[in-house]
Amino acid sequence: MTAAAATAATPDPASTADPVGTAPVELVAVPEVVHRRPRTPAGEYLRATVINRPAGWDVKPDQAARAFFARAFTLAVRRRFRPDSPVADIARTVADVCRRHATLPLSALETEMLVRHALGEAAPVEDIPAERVVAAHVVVFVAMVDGVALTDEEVDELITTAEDTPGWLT
Amino acid sequence: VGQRGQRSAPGRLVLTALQDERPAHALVRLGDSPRVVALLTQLFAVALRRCFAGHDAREITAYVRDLLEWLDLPPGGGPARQTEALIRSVLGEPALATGITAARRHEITCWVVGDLARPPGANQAVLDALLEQAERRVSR
Repeated sequence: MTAAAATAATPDPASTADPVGTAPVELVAVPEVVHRRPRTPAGEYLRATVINRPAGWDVKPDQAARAFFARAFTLAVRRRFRPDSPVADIARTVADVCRRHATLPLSALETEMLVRHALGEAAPVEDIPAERVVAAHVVVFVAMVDGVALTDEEVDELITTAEDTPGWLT
Repeated sequence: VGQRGQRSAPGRLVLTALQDERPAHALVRLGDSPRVVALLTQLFAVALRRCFAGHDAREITAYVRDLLEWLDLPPGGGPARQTEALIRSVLGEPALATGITAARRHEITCWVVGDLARPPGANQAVLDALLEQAERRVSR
């Protein structure tokens, strides 16, 4: 078959296309997205804090809850910042968070070090009191997810990922 | 003060302390004199600004770790954070040093100023220039 014959035998897509889109279209099946909700009290607490709802949990975080908060914090920080983000940018963000939560036991420098540690830096985070670490993890998580404008569903995904991940993130 | 080569009494004390085998400790012992403390405070600011202004804070974190190791102190934790806080406070983030006591500030100041004498150490001309600038700032 010559090239000309082949061209003639092949229908021109433009001539056969449905110009007004009335032809039946085969829809491609989209995988169903399963929306997972937090399933632990600490996860529910974090979610409630993000969406500014009363949290039905007596906040006395045990070891497992503290590890969960640390994981969620790390995931959120890594959404907002990169390992090479300028420290000035991190410090400014953290200072703003601490200013907005002046009644909490937060130290701007300790919080900044926790953020930089979460980004993989050898920042001095030793011997920060546990209550200040938890406070920093929770309020920074909220600020980070707000900072990157995550939807409620994306927040749930972040929280459930933190719930699913064993141990501490490194 | 004010003429090159003429050292104030606090300036002479600081120079002598910097020649000590353990300069940071020798400087800490001068903490009873408000004039020496004032001079050290200015020397701290001048030396750090000439060295670190415009640099990323990560360089300060690394410097602090190295400094504390040289002083045989734990290189992390609270002392490292306080030292970084005080350094960054003179580099434009004054709020970071809120809550650090005067005694602690003096101690950290002496660690950093004493580092000027760490081998190979700043040469005499550099040291003289830093001291002169610090003395001028004290007198203003």
